[in-house]
Amino acid sequence: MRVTLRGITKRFRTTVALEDVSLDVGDGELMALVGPSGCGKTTLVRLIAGFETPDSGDILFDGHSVLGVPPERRGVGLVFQNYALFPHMNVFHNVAYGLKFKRVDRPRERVHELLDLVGLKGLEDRMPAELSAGQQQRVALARALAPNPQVLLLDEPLSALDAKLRERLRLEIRKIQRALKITTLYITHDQEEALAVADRVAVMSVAHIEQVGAPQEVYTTPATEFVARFIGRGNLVMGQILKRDGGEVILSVGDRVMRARGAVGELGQSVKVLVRPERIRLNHVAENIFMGKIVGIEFAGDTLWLHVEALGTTLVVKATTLDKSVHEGERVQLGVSASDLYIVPPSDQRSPPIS
Amino acid sequence: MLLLPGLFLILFFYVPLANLLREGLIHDGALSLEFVKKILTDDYFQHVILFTLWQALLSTLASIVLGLPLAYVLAHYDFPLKRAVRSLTIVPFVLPAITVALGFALLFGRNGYLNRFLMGLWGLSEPPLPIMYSLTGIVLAHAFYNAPIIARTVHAAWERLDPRYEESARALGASRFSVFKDVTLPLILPGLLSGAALVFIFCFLSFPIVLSVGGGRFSTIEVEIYTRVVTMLDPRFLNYKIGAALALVGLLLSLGMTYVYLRLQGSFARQTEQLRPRPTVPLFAGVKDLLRPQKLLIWLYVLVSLILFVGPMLAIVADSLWEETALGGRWTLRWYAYIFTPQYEAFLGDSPLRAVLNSLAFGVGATLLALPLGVIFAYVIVRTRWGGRRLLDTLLMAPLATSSIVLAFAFLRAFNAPPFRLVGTATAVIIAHAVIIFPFIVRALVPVLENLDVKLIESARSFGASRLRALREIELPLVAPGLLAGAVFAFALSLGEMSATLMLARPGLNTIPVAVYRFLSQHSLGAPSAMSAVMIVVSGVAFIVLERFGEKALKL
Repeated sequence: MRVTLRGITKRFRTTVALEDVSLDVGDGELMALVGPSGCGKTTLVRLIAGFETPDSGDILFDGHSVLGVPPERRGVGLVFQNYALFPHMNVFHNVAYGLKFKRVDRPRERVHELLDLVGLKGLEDRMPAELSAGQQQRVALARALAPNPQVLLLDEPLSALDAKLRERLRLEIRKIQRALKITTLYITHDQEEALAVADRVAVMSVAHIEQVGAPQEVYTTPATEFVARFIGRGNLVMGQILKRDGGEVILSVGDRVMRARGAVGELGQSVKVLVRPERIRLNHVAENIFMGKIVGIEFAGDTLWLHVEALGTTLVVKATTLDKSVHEGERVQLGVSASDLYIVPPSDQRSPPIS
Repeated sequence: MLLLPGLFLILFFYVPLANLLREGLIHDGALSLEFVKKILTDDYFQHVILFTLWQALLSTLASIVLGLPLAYVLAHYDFPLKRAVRSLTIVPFVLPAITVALGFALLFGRNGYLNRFLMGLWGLSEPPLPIMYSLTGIVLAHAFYNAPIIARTVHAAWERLDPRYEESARALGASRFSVFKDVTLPLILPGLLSGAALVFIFCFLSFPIVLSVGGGRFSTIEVEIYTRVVTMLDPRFLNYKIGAALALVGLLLSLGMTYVYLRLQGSFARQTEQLRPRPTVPLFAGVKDLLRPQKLLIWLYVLVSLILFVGPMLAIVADSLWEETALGGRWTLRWYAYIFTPQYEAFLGDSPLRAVLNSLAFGVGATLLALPLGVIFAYVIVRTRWGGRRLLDTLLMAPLATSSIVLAFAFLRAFNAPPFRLVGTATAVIIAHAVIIFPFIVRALVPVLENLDVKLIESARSFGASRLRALREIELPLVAPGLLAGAVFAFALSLGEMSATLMLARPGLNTIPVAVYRFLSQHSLGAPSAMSAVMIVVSGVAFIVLERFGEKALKL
């Protein structure tokens, strides 16, 4: 099932929750919708599920408008952050609930099949309150999948879990989604989760979508400054365009002249340049070389996050424990390839991402 | 210090009550179940007990029927003054029952406004709504009083119900009706049952309404005890014995129900708290929307509510300002002047002014007695780790389940002889009021103290404040609004108390509610309306204070 949103606008009293939002989720695709809290993600889910009606725009399932179709007839599976398992029903009846309203052959088998799928066989008689958070999440998934929905909406499905469990469950969700080939919209505020789980990622800021693209795409070529800041860890430094040289751009950054990629901007214009921490390398020879001074070190097990004063600002640089002789106060030489300096399109001209 | 409230309860509740119950278990000087057996086997008493339960059941059902729609509207719609309507549901706690009885008499009586209006409208010679002095009247008056409690508890449950349960069910294919049946109803049921249990207890123990609206034709356990003890000549004290046995049976029943209520309330409180506010839609959404069947039902409900809830109150105010004359009638303030005159009235046994002054004095006295004890009691329950704390908590249950009539009866028997010859004095009335309002005060104060974070005091002390200074500068300012609300609540409860006062009243000890009752028995109008209007104003002030400072605190 292909889900299409066309020019959706939704207002609540005075606040605009969604402004002219369009999105296309392909058949069997897992689309992650990521953005800070309050950006309108949940409203989007509620619109697709049928709990809200858009003020303007259209929602299409396989090309047919579903506006006016009540939630119970949209065939949408829904998993909430708090799971919303019916507290007065046991696991079996929770999962079986959606089958009551469908003609399903042998519903008991269907329930067992789903509990097996999410790895909860044997817990049929437990009440929700007697389950761990992870188990509750799996029951919620099984319950949503039981009536064979054409679309699965996961609204922050893992946000209530601890980090370790979150990583494990997102892999499981991905596996199940692949196996069932079910069109899925996965809402999260966690950009790392979105990148890890999705075929494509839609990044939202307030009330609108900033960029849609494959995880690598939004990471390496963010379409806006918002996306550049929101996705991944990054350094944004100010630069001024001096001239163009083929596909590359010559910039002045701080007291240095650097080469970067990116097709936007006019000569003399001030732009923001994105460089990811792992793309700045210590004692490395590249197109752009500059000196910096280490002013802080964060130890994170496999990684060292260095705070380096350079280019008139403080850069975050990813190093590993293999990088010897990293000490606070030390001056280091840093190298960045021209292809790793990316000029972020300014927010006023929302141009399509360059690939 | 900490033992004072316990001592107070034991001395003025448990000892007299035990003494009374013992009386019902003694026959010819020996322990015997003679009277209890008589109560349980005699056709007449069986009828009284069954009627008490029956009217309580009908009243509870009527309260649910009237209260549920309000809970629904509050939970689902936005409308102007919603907050105010919601707050008004605490009014029954401060509105004296006798004013409700009077309002019903004025509005629904044979000669009441509604019947006169309908007779004029339809050209009838007989009043079309024989509500006064009927079971219907009792049930409706109880519903007036208790439907707001149902609305309140159910709305609380509804508001706490995460809308995502219902949304999950809808997404799974359930229709609106299935969602309500399978998900909503089971989840708000504990709230509904808890409210219903409370209402059932209130109606079971109800006295002023059954007496006045029933007009003496209907006898519940309370009315029966009152009649036997106060109005029957009883040279051999047989009625005392029967009254005591009746009190015993009634108390066992209401204790059982109170236990059920507290259990239900406990299970209700443990339910999951809500994570997302329930979405509401405007109640008024255009002219076309006003005529949808669902909305028409709501308008019908609003109309019925206005007649039933606002009508009696308006009737009282109207009657208090109206005087029948040879020429028909005219607006007047003479009833208000009258209730402040020191003129002797034979059927009061005193002057109306005396009743007003007594009400004030008893209210102040009972508040001064009950509030400090209540504060200490609540403090012990909330703050100390003292082992007797649970016992104290349990000690509070029986006063909640004991009717004012039974308590006053126990006072009559226990404090009629030295060392406590209190019967016939203002002291007896004040102490009785204090005992009656005590459990309500404690239940209102406990959340006030619970809401105060102990860490605040600890941090004040860590900065070097002495315990006393922390009390004065941190605790008192923070709990002051709650204490004010508690004091106002106590005063309002005492002001409205009629049952025990009527039993203990002697000439000179009348209060406003007792005077209203006596006027009403004389079918004398005007003056009781003026008195009730005064009480309504006081209740209104109490309501505003509670709403402003203590709505959260007021938990029953």
